[in-house]
Amino acid sequence: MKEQNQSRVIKFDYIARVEGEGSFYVKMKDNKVEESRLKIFEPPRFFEGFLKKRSFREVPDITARICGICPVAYQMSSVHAMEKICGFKAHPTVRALRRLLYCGEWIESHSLHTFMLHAPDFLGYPDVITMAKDHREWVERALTLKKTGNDIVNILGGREIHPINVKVGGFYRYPQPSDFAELRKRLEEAQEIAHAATKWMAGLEFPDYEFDYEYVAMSHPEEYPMNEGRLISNRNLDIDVKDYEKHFTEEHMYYSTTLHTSLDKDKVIYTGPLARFNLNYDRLSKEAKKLAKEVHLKPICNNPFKSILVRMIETFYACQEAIKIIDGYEYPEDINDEVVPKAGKGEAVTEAPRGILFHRYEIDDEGLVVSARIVAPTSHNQKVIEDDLRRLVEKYQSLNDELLTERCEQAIRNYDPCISCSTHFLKLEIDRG
Amino acid sequence: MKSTGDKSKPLIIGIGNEFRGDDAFGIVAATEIHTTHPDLFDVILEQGDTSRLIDQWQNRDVIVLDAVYSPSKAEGEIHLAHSFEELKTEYEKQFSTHGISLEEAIKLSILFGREPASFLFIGVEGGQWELGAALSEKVRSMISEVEKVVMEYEGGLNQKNL
Repeated sequence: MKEQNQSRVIKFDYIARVEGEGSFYVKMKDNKVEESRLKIFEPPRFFEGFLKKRSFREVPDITARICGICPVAYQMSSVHAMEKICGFKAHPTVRALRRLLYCGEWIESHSLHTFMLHAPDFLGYPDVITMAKDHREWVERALTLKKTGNDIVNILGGREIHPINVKVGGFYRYPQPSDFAELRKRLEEAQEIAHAATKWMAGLEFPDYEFDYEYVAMSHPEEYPMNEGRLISNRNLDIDVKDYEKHFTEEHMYYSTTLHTSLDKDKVIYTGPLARFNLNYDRLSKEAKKLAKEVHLKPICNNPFKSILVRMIETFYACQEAIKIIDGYEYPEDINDEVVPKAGKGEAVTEAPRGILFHRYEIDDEGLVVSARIVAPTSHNQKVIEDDLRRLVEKYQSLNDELLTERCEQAIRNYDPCISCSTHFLKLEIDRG
Repeated sequence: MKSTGDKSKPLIIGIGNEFRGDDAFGIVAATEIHTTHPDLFDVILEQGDTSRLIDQWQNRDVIVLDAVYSPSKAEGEIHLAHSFEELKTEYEKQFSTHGISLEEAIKLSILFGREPASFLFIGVEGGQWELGAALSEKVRSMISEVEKVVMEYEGGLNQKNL
């Protein structure tokens, strides 16, 4: 136990491949957190300006560049927003293929995050390399799982990162059913890996920490949400996506260029896999629900460290869903996917692997972008991450600085934040007050 | 730009972020060299998660192009590493919330026996990294020098295979 009137400062820097982009800073006094600041570099801001006067048709390809891990999410939110503005309804086959593409991104993103980045925290390894020496089989299986996700994105998107086959209205080229033959076999193996991995991860030691969060996710009457639905929470939010900006506001924090998102002025929200699971459990497949039950996971789960388990259940579900879509796929012979621009404003929200991603655009009658607004999942989660860190530092203050910092990093990774593709936790600095 | 899938050709891997000044070096240089010599090389542009490379470079002749940063070095300076072992960064502990690094991809490849047949890393010291900035003139001017190194390496591979 720390003595009264003792100050303690815990600070660690996120440094990009090249230089620092942000920091985490907590100052304690008398065993209470006096000040905490989390600064995260947020790339979408730059893109909003960059998009102005570009054709609406270019937007999916440009926004895909925002993130190397979740380009599909940016493409999906942008195509849905543009189609809404132009009054275009996508063909059912396009709708199914978009869901398949999202399955690919969830599989690759979740398998990367859970095995390579988060599992080492739980097992006490500094990184996946060290973990792989003791758990080689799991890391190799993770790579197989991840590759299956990459393969979906490759076949549908034209390449693994920054797909180029997505257009407003549909796809530039539609795959033949035979293109999926090999992939389908690999998805069956991937599904088995995800199933076994969920059980393996259930054996990890989860920190004893819970909080009564307000979870926000999309909700669709017939399916686990990816591309469509209303925005709901476990409190009283239930809105059409068009009302997003009436409820969600962004705030500039004095210590950061990054914006913090709040619901209804000052409510802190939690978005991402745990929110999706808690709010859409009933929409999971029978097998995914059975798997959740087997690992004693049910809604509402309030332990954010169990998000690693939820990610693997979502991976299992995404493999199943991908097989289902492939099995029902027929090459679209006659498809109208040409969208005629129409002046107006429109918005869309989709479920990126790490949470809700909002896009709003205004275009003119030639289809040129007049304005754009993008709110990334990490912006939605920034306040809750900061709050979790504050609570955790107080709860675990008896740990030494090294262990406390590790616990904080583990907690940040509960949210799989998209700091930027080239931004890393790189340097730890502890300054005792 | 997508790999042609022709595994008989040396594979150029360009790493970087095309929207962050000199960090774009690997992407721009790999694209330009491949455009000039499409019959000689296969190419991959990697802008996000390097874990994909573990599958892609196994048993291939690989040339990695990337921007590097060392505070004491001059902008435009070229660094070469002819093996995984030679490629060391000054950072011992490198965590990411979002992806694994080139260094981690290399270490996993070694651990799993998925190494390239041959390996050349060419790093060019960058000087400006601002979001939205273009390649600096100095770094851009080094592409022709890097191309010479790449061609010399490719020639050496040919000699070895004769």
